[in-house]
Amino acid sequence: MSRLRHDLPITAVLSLVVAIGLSLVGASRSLVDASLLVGAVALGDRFVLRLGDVTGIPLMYAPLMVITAGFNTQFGVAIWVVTIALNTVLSWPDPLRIEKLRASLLTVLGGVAVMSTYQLVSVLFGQKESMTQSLVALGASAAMIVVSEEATRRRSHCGSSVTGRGVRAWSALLASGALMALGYRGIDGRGGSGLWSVALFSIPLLATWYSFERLETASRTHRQTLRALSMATELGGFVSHGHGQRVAELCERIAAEVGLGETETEGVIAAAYLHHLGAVTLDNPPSETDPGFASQIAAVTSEMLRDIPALRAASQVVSGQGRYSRDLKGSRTDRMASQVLKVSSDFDDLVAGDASRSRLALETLYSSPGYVYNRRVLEALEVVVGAR
Amino acid sequence: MTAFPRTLRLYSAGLALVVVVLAALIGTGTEFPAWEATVVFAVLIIFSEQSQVTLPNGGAITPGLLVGVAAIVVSGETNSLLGPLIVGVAAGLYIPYLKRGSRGFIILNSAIVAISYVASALVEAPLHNAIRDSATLGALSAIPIALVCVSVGALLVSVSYWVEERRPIKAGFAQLAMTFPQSVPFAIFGVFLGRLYLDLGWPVAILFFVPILLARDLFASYLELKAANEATVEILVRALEAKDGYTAGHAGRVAKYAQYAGKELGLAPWRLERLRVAALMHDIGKLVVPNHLLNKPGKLTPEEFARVRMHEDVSVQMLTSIDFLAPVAPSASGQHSKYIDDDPRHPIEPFIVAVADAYDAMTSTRSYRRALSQEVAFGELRDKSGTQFHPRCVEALVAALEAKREVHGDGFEDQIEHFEVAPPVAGLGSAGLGDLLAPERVDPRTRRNEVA
Repeated sequence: MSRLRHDLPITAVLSLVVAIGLSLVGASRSLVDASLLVGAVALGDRFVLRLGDVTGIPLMYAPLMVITAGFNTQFGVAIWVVTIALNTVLSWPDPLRIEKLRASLLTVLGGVAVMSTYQLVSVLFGQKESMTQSLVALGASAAMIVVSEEATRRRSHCGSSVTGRGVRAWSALLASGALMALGYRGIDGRGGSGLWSVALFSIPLLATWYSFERLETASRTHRQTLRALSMATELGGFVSHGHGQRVAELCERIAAEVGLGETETEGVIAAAYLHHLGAVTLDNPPSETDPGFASQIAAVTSEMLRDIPALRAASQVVSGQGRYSRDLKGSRTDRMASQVLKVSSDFDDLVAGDASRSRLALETLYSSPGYVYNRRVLEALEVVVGAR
Repeated sequence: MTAFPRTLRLYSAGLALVVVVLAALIGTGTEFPAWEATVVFAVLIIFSEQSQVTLPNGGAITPGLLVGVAAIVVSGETNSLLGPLIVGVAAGLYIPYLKRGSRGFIILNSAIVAISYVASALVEAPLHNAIRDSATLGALSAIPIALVCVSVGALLVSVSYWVEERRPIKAGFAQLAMTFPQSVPFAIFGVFLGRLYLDLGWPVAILFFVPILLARDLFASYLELKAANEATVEILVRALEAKDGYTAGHAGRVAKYAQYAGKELGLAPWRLERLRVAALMHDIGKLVVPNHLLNKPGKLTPEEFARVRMHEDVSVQMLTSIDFLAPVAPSASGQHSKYIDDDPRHPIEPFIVAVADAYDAMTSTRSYRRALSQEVAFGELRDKSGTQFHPRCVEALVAALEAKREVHGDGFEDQIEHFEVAPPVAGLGSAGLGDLLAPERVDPRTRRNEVA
């Protein structure tokens, strides 16, 4: 797991200086390359394919693959240890903390595991180097990279990186890493272009990084716009403060629990932010305590969203909030999505900002007639709020 | 792009004939290419051409040249020109054109790319051994290859411009040849991909393919998100219009005028986009004002007025909560976007929105008065220029509207509201707060002092 950092790439600059020094005194090419790869890893640690606001996959795994395939294990491990140690000590302004040391140690161990895997697979394949052998060994070490990253993430309680956007990030990163490694050393003495290939194949990787950044920015802007709109109903006094944000977060977690797809989840989240927006357009909005409040507002809101293609899913979620019964139109997934919103919204109303009331709120929802709430969604809610 | 121009038919037929003749000559005169490599690169280039990446400056690039140069280097090994020709033809198969049945553009593009690749392959042939022997020489060889490829392509395209609309060939060529510096890194990249392919075989191409496919995928997700956000802003505009029918179309028009002025002031594309969204959302705070206050026909009590006035602070607060709009959040407040001095540290966007907002308020019919004529509106903006409005923004908007010969205001309104009681002809107003006048200036017919 790597959190976003904004420290100075001192290690990278240092490694460049050392590499120039080494080539001036006529050191061997592999020593100069090793020094430059230290810099590449340090830089790669700063560029992260973002999967959410704080976590992501660092690009440093691509140069790790080059070190793995390009050097013998002892030398490779030495390079890796030196890099991580330098990066830990020099990363500014992060002070040396136990937590950080532990993370660095895990990174070192992960790298060693990757290099051992590569060697092991190569040996199993025999002495003769071939394309197939290289690809299998690189594939095995790529798998080891994912495993070690997942292990670190689990330790620090971050979500898995092998879902949705994470799979795309890994594919781009590991494919480029393998290409760099192949290009660096070639096969059986043929086709090695040295660090040229590392520099060149980092370009598509950086382009991927840029796409991830842009996607992340767009998705943040979208969330924030939705939240700004939901603030309108709160500031207008139609619902309690922070209702939209809380319901959206709850919906996202319940949707994951009941296994809604990416598109449906996006629709539910948008609906969660907007589901009371209709209230602001009414001349005489009903009070929140009115029995018909939710359904009346839902009707107005869904009408507003209906003919906007990108929000059609959200519109259906809002309009389906009524009763959970068979007579509702729409597919099973649509009904499920509406239920996720209804359960989250009603739960938030019942809890009313007081966490100690969540047990009672759950009981109230469970004791409603069977056609009001879907059992599966209620159970998911129970898991999400930690009552189970 | 529209239908294929008739005038170009002869030209593209001619180029296609050249390609066919070249193919026949090459096919009989030289070696056949390595078919496996040709097919791999042809498929690769078709996909590459579809995956445009939009740059922050608004331009777009495709990795097509990269794949093309790689194919040229690979074909150079067997000394065959047919490979580059086939890959060049494949490069023209732009799928959206195929779907729309625009055969004309496909033939034209395929022929142009094929001819330029064959020309580049002729340049590559004497350099091929150097490319194979040394990485540094390989990188340097990419420069003449890219130069020939770009200039032959630019020449053929600029001739097509001349054929189509008599645009001077020299000017068109100069403009297209400007892409040469950008193309060099792609060509260097292509040379290395070609070298690797020759040494290591097709798995290299597959590995290379993954990030390209992903780039497309990520771009599609990005567009989806952009559309979703656009829709969210649209919802806001609708909610405002549902609350207050007098402002129908107001947000859209303010966004349009703000863009006119922004373009005139030479703002970068990303700033224009931010300006547009900020202008669309500048009244967002009105959502929290109860309808009966927004539409109250008579005088507002001081408390009511304070409540209504609060909407500007709410707007600023809401826009500030969106990182992308935070720097221009004062756009939503008449107070904060009032012109004080030309401090370069303050973004100009809020001043632009203030001018656009006032201009639309004056040139639209309100409940309490008919629309003013454009001259009166211009006069009023210039009158308050330097005190209430930023002078550069006022001049930019006036210049842009005059250049576009757009006339708004009395008699030229896009959307005319029909009021039961015809609005009187007098007074200025504001798009939002005009209906909610301060207690001391409640009679719109006598009020002429402040705009917006």
